[in-house]
Amino acid sequence: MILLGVFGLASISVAQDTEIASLVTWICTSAVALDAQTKQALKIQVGSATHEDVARLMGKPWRTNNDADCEAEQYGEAWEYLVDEANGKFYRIHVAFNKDGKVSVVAKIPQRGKPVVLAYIAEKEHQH
Amino acid sequence: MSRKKNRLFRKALASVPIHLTITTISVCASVYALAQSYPPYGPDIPLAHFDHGKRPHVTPPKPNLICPVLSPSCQDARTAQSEWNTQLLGYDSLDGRSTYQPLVVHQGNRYIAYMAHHAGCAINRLNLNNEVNGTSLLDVTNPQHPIYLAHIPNSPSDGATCTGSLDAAGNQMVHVCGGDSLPSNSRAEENRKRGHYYMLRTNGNASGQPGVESHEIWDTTNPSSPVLLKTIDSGATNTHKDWWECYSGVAYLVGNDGTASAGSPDSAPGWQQSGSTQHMKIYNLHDPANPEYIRDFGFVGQQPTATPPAIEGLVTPPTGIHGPISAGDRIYAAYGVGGNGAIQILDRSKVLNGCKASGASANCAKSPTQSEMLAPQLGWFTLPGTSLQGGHTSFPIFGEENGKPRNLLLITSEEGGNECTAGSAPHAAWLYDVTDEANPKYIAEDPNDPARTKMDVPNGFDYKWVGIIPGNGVTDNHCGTTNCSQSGIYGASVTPQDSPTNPNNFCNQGARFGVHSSTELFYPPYYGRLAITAWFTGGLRVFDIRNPDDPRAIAYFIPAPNDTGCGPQGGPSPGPGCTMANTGRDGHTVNAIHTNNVEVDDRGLIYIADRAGTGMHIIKLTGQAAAAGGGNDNDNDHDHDHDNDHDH
Repeated sequence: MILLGVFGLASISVAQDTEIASLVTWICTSAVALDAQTKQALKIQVGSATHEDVARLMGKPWRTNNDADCEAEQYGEAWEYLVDEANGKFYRIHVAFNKDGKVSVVAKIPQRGKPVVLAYIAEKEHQH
Repeated sequence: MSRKKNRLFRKALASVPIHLTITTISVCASVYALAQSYPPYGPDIPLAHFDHGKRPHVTPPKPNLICPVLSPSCQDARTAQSEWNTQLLGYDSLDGRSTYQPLVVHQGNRYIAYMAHHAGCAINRLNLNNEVNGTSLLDVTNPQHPIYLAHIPNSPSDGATCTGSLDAAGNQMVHVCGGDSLPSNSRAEENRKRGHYYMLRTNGNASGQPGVESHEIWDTTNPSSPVLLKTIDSGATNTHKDWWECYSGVAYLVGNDGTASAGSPDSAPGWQQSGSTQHMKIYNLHDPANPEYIRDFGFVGQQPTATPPAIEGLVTPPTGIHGPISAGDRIYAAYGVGGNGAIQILDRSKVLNGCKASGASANCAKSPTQSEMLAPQLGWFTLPGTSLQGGHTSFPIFGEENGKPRNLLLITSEEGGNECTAGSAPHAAWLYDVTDEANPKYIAEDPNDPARTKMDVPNGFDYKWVGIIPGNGVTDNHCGTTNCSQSGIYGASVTPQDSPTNPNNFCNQGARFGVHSSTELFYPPYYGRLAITAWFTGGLRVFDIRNPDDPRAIAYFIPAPNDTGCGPQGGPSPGPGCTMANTGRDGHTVNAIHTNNVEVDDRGLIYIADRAGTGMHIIKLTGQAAAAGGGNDNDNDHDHDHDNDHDH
């Protein structure tokens, strides 16, 4: 249900987006092969999950970033999780927070590949 | 420095009141004997020679793409490494830390790169600890093989941890002075500083109270083992782009005082700004272990006692400063960052000494009167596009043309929105003629957009289908010139779904596309010949400004996103690459390049730092760009006047 909810949000919002098209393909072809970390990532509630919620679901991030410039509050943070696929390959789970500290984007970043957006919530454009 | 250059330098400053010029040159001359090669100040600042050369404007080649032709099996629209009159010499991943400012110092017999990071956490390759981003130090003596020497984590005083808030973290800015360059008040001080190097860095960056940020001085004489020497301005907020004069020790620290600074004798509460809430706190750090507070300063209307409406600027209170640059007896201050921009030209001596003058108000240093704020100001002006463009960098270029002084300012705004936000203006770089400081003149207008200069030509696929709507309807109320141009704005969304026939575009990279900054150091040979800028997803962009009325694009370098790893040299390490994702409209997420800042060293090498964690690239100019940077032309097909810069 959670998976469908998250996916539903993304697919309704960006039905034309190529990443989401990739997500459709990916989920349809590998539904039984979802690894534990991706399953956990799909539980993150975009728009409401906080840093604590993400830490509870995903653990401690491998790398974090807040490239805010003059005022950190103007931008958000991004946390990244390193996932070992046990075949010599890795991918990253990317979790972006908005300036209110709520998750705005969850993406899966494969090796040498294009990010696949698992879920996002549309934000108002910001201007520095 | 030749006598001729010294003579021309004095001529270039002829618009400066004579007695101040003489004072400055005499003070600088006494320091000159001590001066090291980094960085050029005072009479060491090269003199630019401008000309009227008619050099060909070349359409730059298109950047390389990871997928030159999109297909069902390859949907990757990112740029691959792309060069035009540039060559990549060296690279380091910086452990995947987001980086703001690069600075390279000729330190003894080595070149040390100080790479100042945004907030975040990553694993330090040297000790395998997960550390809050601070400052990375690398030996780049051999640019092809940078050696990572140390990571100085963000000091925990700002409360940042890898498991908690990063809002106030990061050490984005850095300056370095040698103890042999800094003046001394005593023989003992001189002996104590001899052979030492000192790094000034910001610590933390946020606007929240009570203020947990500061500036720090580190002794980096042994760059592999830096030692914290002094914390300055504890309880600050919004620290940002400092400037440190190595020949005088004067440091212009950018920030604001939070309530936590109340106990500090140099606390100056109550300064007010719009946008980025920061002004200047000025110290003399000639003895870095013993800071001497001078005063606080900013734009009139920001002083604590100011009452609305502001008498200058575009908004009340006026926008905060991004960073000052001092040169000669001037301070050039850029306000607004990415919006409501204003540029201010200040008499440095009056700023530094104004509160010591007879008749100064009792609280002049911390809370000056309006007249005390205005006294040092020689000129100010807003930027084309008014509210849509900000003052980010204001780099002075002192020069001569036909034997007469001609002084310029290279100014940049900062692009703030990802993927060319509809309704926003593409943020621009401008050249202003400030020979007449009270009447700065905007030059090199782009005939297709009067708010933009010729330093904005496309490099391949910028504007192929991005509609720019001229004019923004904003009323200019002060331009400092009769030409109050207004900036065009992006008229449409430019994400792939909007134009499936042409998705390859700088506005389709998840991140920002527009200018951010220029180099700020006065190193020859490029000073006055090339404008070297960081353009976010557009990478490094270089312009030939020898004829500043007709600048032309001459080089670019766009790094490849790091898809391999965050290990040394970007080699394999745990993880599929270092470049962080950015998200534009509609969840469009890309691991794309985000060139944040650029700087040169005294060897003519160019260093760029990536905001998305891609790392540091060391670049050399080649071809026409190398020739132009050296004062020569090797264009084969142009009809040019003979320029007058062959004396180098």
